[in-house]
Amino acid sequence: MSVRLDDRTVAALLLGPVVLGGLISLVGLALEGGDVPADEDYVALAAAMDKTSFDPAQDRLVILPAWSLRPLVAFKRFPWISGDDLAQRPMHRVRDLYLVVEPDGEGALDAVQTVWAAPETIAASGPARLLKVSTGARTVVDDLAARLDQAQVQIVSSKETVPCDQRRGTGFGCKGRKGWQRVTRERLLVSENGQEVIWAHPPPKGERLELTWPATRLDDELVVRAGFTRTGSNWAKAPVRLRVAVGGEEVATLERPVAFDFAVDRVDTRRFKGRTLPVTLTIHTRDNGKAHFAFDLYTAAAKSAWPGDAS
Amino acid sequence: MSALLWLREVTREEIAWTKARKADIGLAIALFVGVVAALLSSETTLGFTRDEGYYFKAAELYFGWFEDLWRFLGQGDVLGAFDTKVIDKHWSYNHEHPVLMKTAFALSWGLLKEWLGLFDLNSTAFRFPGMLMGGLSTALVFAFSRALKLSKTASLVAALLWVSMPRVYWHMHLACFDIAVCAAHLWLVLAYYKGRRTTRGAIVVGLAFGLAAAVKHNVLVTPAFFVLHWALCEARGFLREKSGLRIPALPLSFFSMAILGPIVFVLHWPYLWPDILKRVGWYLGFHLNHEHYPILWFGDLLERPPFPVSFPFVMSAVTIPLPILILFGVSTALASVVAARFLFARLNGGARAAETTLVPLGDPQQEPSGSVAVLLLLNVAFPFLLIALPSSPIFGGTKHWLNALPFLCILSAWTLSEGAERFRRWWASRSPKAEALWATSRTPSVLLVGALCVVPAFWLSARVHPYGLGAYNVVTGFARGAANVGFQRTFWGHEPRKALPLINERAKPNARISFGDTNRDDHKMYVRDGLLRKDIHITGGPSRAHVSAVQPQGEFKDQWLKTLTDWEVNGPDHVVHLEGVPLVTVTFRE
Repeated sequence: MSVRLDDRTVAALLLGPVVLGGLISLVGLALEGGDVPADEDYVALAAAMDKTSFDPAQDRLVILPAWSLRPLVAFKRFPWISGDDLAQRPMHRVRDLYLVVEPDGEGALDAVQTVWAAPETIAASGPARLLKVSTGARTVVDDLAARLDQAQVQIVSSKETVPCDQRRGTGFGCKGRKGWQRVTRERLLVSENGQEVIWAHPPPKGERLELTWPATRLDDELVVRAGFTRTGSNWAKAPVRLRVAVGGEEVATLERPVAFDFAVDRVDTRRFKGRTLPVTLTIHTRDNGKAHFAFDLYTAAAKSAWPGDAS
Repeated sequence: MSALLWLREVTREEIAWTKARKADIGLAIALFVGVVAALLSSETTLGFTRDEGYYFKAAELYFGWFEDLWRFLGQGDVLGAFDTKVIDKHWSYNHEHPVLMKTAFALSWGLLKEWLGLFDLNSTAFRFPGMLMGGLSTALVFAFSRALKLSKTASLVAALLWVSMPRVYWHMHLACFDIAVCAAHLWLVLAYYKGRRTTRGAIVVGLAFGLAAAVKHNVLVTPAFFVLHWALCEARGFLREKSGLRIPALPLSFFSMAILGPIVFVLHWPYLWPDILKRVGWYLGFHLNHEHYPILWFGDLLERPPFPVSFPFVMSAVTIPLPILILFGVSTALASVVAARFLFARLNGGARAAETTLVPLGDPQQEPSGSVAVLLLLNVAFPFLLIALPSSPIFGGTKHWLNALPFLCILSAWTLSEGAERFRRWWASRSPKAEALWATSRTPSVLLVGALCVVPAFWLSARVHPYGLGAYNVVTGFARGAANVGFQRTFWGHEPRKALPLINERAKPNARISFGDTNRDDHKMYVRDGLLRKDIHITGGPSRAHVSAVQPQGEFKDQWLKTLTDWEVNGPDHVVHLEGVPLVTVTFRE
């Protein structure tokens, strides 16, 4: 069976989609031009930020979309966190989020609004806006990641215990071990645009990395965030296991599969609430090849800091 | 009397043909000159890619051999320059690629700049042959279209489709091989199409294959397409006999490619001469086992196989300007229908099918359109299919299948012509006395639709320059949309050039710079061309650096974060960007 098409139909089939594509392209190019904030827009918003009640101890700046870095030039004086997965990250450390939102950041902003209250607009300049979102009171009780320099770090095996007490940047190196066997606070690619976390490469099979904070103030929960970096998620060979002990008692055993997912675990510590006890985090794996791994750790009072929690 | 009339008619035809041919040559030259002039003017803001750094160095080393050759000859030592030690001293560097283009870079620099002083910058002199190949590829698209009997207007549109694509235009600036191999591939196929039936033409095909292989390895498989085309479209007389299979006489061009091709390839490359088999074997083995580089793909960093089969198709869909993309798709469909009809008719007894289209592809008296469609489609399909293999390296953005695009541009011009002719015929049929433009000529339609394709493409090209590798089309929402989706924003280390004046101004004396994806050879050229202060030295990561100019994406994002951590700073001092999408963060250590 042959299909006969008349000249008009053939012409329409051959040329019509191309013409449509050309028109869409021209319109798209014309409309796209106004989406890019100028440097002056960021300067203006930073000046507006200076006039707010931003408190560097408990508030944070976020830029949306998360890949945008230009605003940091003007906002460098404000502590910031990356805009990755804001709606899924616990915000115990944060009272107010100040959001610089430019075109293409609306999706992430919508997600934020589903978790917390609607944002308040502080200023606008060009296509960029400065908004403020309250996440509730800051409820972190003991920020163990921030107190890394007070932790006791060692590598333990059945044969020996290796002290990791050589000061190295913001943390420790381990005696006789290579540079990657360190525990240091760094900005690492545990999410698309990075977060400040603790680098903690697990030691070889048969050994475990132990970090102990001798006097930790405890409350409702112990928040453990942990996972592989981007490189680790591509190249690591085995999951990493974590054990959490409070006052010598094991309270949680966690596992992180080889994936690009800095997952959160909330360990219930209400039975220890109000006490000061040692907290020990143990990290180990059966194969530590390219196990680029990191964690974040703190104790906190419960807070509606993520989806589903009652306020 | 009638003999005189006949002679007058033949002479008129001859004059008309010569005039037409001269017009074609004139247009091709105009395209060539226009493209090269445009490239020379837009090259000044384009930073150096990693590979260019290697090729700058290689070209200078290779030029040294020519200097040695001259010196030896001057001393009466004819063979001195052909000693293995002398050859290896100059030619062993970067022996993973053949040297036709690198030799061109070398001669351009050594003769045009160093000797004649025609260029101010070393880098421009090195890049000039690459730009010439950009112009040549554009002229060849036009020439091939004309060889297929497409109108001048359609052929011009084909050429403009090619040069207007942002990533294609961007690649044309470089001292690299990716556009050169497109030109070489085009010439090879054109030579095969035009000359395969004559002895002289067959020799040209053999030479063209050797020279194309001397540009880059992408074309090594092309003879297989010719064999396949011949078997599918031309061969007659396959016979199964008692003693086996009788194969019809093979075209001479196959033999010339098999014999002349390797001879030309080996002759062009001095490095091979001391041990041809071993060194050619190494070269082929290198590319069969090429290492992989990370590529950002929907937010995932792909570092090793298996890679997605859809990679070349999706990347084409989001980087080729939309109307051109659609035209490519429509043309492929039309060519496939025409080819299928032809092959089906051939399979069923060999009766020649009527031409499917009003506008033939080529000269139907010589060869059915279907046969030409098969030839072009084979050269379109293979680059895509090769990169679609899960084991094929996928670094390099879209450059590894660029050599399919010129053939798509030619098919597109034919498709536009067919659509325009159908439209004209329909318009004319509405009123038999119609004398309107659209009823008597298909040129206005070809021009209008062609303009709707190339104008947005040129516009996008201008908008993204000099960051052509960050060009994405309206399908993703251009550069910002691509960043949202998680596509590779850039690669190859060329991005910091725009920040160099700021670095020169603010870097302390004898500063060390952490340059991200920009390598030492690029740094050397920036200094040599006076674009970067000579007291600013390159170092590895940010730890020991005073200036950090790194690309905050993919595998280099770690360096950006390391700058923040090690230097205890809270942000960059400057960001080089494309429509707000960061390409380089520049930070100065206090």
